[in-house]
Amino acid sequence: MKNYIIRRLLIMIPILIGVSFVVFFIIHLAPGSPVDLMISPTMTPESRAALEHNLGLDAPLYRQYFTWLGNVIRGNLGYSFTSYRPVAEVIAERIPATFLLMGSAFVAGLLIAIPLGVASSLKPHSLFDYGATFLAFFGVSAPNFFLGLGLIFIFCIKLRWFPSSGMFTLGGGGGVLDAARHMVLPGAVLTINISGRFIRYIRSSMLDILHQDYLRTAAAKGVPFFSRISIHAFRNALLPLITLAGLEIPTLLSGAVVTEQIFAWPGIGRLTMDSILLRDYPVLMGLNMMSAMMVLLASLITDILYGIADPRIKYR
Amino acid sequence: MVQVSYGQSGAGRIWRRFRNHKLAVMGLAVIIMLVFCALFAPFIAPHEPTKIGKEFESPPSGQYLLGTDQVGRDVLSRLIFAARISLSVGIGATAIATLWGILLGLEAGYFGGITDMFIMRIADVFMSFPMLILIMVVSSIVGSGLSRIIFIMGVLGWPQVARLVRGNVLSIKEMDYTKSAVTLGFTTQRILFLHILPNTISPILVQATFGVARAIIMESALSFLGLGVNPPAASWGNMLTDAQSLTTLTERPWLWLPPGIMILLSVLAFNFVGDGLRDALDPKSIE
Amino acid sequence: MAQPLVELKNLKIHYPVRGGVFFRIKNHVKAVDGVSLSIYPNETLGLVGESGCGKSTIGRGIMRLEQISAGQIYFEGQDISRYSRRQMRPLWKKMQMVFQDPYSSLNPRKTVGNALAEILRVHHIVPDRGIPGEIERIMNLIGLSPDLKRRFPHEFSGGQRQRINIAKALTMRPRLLICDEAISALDVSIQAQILTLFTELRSRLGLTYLFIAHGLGAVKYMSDRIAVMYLGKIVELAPAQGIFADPRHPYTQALLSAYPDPNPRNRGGKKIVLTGQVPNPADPPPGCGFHTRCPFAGNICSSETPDLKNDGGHFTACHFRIHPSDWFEVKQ
Repeated sequence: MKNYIIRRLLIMIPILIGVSFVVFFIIHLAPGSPVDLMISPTMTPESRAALEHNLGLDAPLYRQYFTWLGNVIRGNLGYSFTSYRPVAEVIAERIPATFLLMGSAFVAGLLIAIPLGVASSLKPHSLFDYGATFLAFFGVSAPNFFLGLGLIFIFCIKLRWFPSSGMFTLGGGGGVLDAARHMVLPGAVLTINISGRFIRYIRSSMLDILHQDYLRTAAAKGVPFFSRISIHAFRNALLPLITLAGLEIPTLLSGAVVTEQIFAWPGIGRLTMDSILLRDYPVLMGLNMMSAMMVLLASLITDILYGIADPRIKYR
Repeated sequence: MVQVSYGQSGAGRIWRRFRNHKLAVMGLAVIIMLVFCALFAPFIAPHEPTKIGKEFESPPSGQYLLGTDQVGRDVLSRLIFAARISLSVGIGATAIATLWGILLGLEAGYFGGITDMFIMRIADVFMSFPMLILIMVVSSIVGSGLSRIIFIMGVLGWPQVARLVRGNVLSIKEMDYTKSAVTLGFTTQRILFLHILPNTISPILVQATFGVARAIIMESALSFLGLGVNPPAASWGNMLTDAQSLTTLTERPWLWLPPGIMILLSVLAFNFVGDGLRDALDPKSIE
Repeated sequence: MAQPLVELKNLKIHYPVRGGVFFRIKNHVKAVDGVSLSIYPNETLGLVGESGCGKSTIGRGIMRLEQISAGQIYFEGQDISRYSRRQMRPLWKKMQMVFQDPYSSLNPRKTVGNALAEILRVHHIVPDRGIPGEIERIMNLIGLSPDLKRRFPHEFSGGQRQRINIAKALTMRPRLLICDEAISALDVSIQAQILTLFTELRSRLGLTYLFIAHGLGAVKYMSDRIAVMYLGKIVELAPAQGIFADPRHPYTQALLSAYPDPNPRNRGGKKIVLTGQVPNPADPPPGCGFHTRCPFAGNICSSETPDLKNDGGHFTACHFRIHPSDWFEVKQ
């Protein structure tokens, strides 16, 4: 197990370097320069060249990459082209908002999906099951920008229950309650998406398990229905759910980008969009490295949890 | 999931099982309708999709069944033409990703060792960035446009297929029939493509169907963000972009509801068909 | 004696065992550890031993489905132990293998006819228009009605599937047929039918067999000579009657005792029961591999590896001369 974790962590290094290499060259090989977006028409060619030099954009591409990589190894992600602040700082201040959104959607998604998934597996092909299946597919298939617009239309414009954008009311007192009210709609969009996937997975893994002999044995022994389902069946159905949860992280992150865009949620999704539009290369690189790292760590933690949950799995 | 089917499933039996999945049959009907719209768009659409008319933002009427947009183009016609975009992105990107994935997955699984290491580590690299963000970066910088989007999504989408194929190949490779094919002196090409691939095609097909759904969503999200198919070409995603203004949202629902519903409907259709195929192709499932 | 069809000289097939953070090679599983053996034209050699003793590895080694760690394999006099797949292809027409599991050894998506036709077409064994006739001939040969050629594997029983496997091998018109536990997965009544088929084919086609099995029962019926393996080495090699009438290695004696005598009058005798486990082939004991389970083992057994000594065409690898009756004296 220890060897396994060490090896996985070591493998992450070349993968992260690979990711950085691919993204770096894609970004920098693009025609045009970020300087184009910064200069004013009155700027002289000399001052433009000076600006490029200051940003390090005049060096050959491979040298730019190794400079960047060298800095990253020393813990320096560089400085934003637009705000001139350290990239790490720019990203760090956006992380809590996104994690709050993703985390609550994740938990809410599970809370909705577990009862629905289990219930529909108990009576497959019943009316309830069809309903849950349809709901699940709706959640998976609805594009979150359309879902977002729909929710804004109903809950902000028609019912006026929740605010449609931002994290705090402008000029308001702020506070936890205010943020929570702002989070309801973007959170709901992500929750609908996630719970759709979870429902399908819980249902199918429960269905697999409900046919196992040990459940029939438990029934024959006289184990009551509820503990048969909750202790004997659901515990074992949790396993595939853990893997799925880990695999959902990248999807969730992509979903957050679009959702944050619609609801003006000040997280890393919006930061990504802004840095794409402004061609803020250092921030983009930082964001990509961060999300790659998150994805890799999530999959490692998933595999470890999987091993803890299933005593049969041995890591070499 | 690794599925190795022992039984040859005739097309008739698969269709019979597929028919039991009511939602999948409905999905198939929607897909057929979409394909029809895409193929015959110029004949079905009442107006030119890019022609700027005199009436701006007019509500649905006899002349414009779904009204007109901000610059006076017929919404219904744009909706019909956009089916071309969504289907070509969905099918094109998935086809590229699936072909690459099959090739690399077969190689990695069959040859193992260094080849496997190399291919799968590259797959890890591709799978470690959130796809949408990467595509956004690429298309904002390399430039957007239909063929570029298809290409980028196709190139980035292969690892999922490759993993699936590799897993199946690993188990089929250990089957005695593969070993027997080796000792019967068949070339590696023949073994890979005529013996192993046909036995792993069903899960690939299912995954590809879900892949089309994912690609359609992704294209519409990109176009919605202004990084995909750009106006004046019509895409369901970019038709929704302008709906972000409060007035459109409240007063002109014909501008944002139809494209949104079309995306939802087509993605649902592909997902249902994928689900139906999975049940129908599963050798374990009962009739 | 005639030139052997197959000759193994001190053959070793070792698998690396990896471990640790970097998957370094830590050790080797010595699946086959110094085996010398000849198979002569038209004979049937039985190869017997418990699972994990390396007998199947030898079969796959001759087919070159395994990397050879050391030693040589000669086929028709040429050293094939370093041959690549490309070099092996022409030789695979002369040696074929029937695999153990009749269920996983047929491609589920190919009809019998298509599977056979593919082989005939790829290797140009008969002219293309002769293919249907050849398929019919082969199916008759192995006792399946040619009417069944449009059927898929899952429509056949285990015994029928094994017949199809034999048909595939015979399509190549081989000289040597390696049967890797080809009947052990079948019902006993079916086993007899397939064995009869093998014997018939031998006389009709002049085949040479390497017949691999885990019990002596299966090989007794058709073997000319029998080799007994334990832990990657041959411990006894003799003509079949020699093995059954005068087993000389204590391991062979134990194996033979486990084989039920079909004659009820001979039943009721004492059985030799081996205790303990087969040692880990990655970490075999020093000296004779069998000494950890042998009641007769002396000091020499754990220090010196016994050679395979010839005594009138009966080869035994044991430091002592043990008689089957000795077993019961030791116990008392």
